[in-house]
Amino acid sequence: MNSIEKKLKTDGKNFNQIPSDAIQDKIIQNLNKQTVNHNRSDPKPLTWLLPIAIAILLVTIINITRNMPVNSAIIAVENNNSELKKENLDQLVVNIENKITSEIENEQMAILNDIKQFNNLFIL
Amino acid sequence: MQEKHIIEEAIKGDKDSFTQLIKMHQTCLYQYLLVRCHSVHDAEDVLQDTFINAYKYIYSYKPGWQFSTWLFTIANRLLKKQHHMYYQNKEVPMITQIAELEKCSIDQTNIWVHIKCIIKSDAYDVLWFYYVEETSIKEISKILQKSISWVKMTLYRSKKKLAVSKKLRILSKDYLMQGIIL
Repeated sequence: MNSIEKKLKTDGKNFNQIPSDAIQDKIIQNLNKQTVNHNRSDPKPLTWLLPIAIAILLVTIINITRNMPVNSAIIAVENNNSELKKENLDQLVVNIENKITSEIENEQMAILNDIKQFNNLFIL
Repeated sequence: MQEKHIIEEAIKGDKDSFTQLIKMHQTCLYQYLLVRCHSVHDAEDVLQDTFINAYKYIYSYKPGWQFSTWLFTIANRLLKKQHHMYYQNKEVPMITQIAELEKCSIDQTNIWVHIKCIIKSDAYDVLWFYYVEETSIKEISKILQKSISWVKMTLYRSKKKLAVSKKLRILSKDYLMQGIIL
């Protein structure tokens, strides 16, 4: 051990400072005021289960609330999509109806023309 | 063995046993607090609070550790609280601290007065517990709430720092010349 280490050891022991009697009395006086439970009580299982359960619950709630906006957005998009499909279908039906109507009309016109021509044949 | 018996009685609620424990440990605790606190008054406050807290929570003391280790752990926590509360991370000038120590007639050639401005407070604690209290590295890590490797590294670095300090070499040379042998 070098000289500094030796001095550290001896100087530390040479402080020779003792707390005054007044301080000791004050400490003992304050001790008498304390009401202490001196029985060692081992923690019950619930005391460490409860924080874990609360933590799990909190994490679950956070996950649900975090996903909620996404879910509602997805639902909204799906609703939109279905509405769009419905609109498209309606339009399709209308288009088909119009086509059928026009084709029928064309056929009818064609038949009328044929009848007129037939009539013209007989008149001449 | 005797201290063990006194501690057991104190845990059961015997105030006289706890008073005996106070008398056994108050001197070394007080000396440590004198060099760590900024005034004698603060040291006395921390000493008082340490023993009161020790009495309140004595049921939580684990017999695997030395009782002094447990007391120093409580004292250290109170010290940190006190430093934070009064000074909010500002350092008290060395002059104020030395003036306070003069009030308790601490010799100015005492090396512990001088190494305060060479090393940090955590390193100071490590050196104190290692050399003066002769506490093991494991117990020091428990008191300071640091890892064992941190304690070893701090001890090594602090010894190196002290070894290169001119002032300390002069002080320790004077000490050797006085012929004081361990």
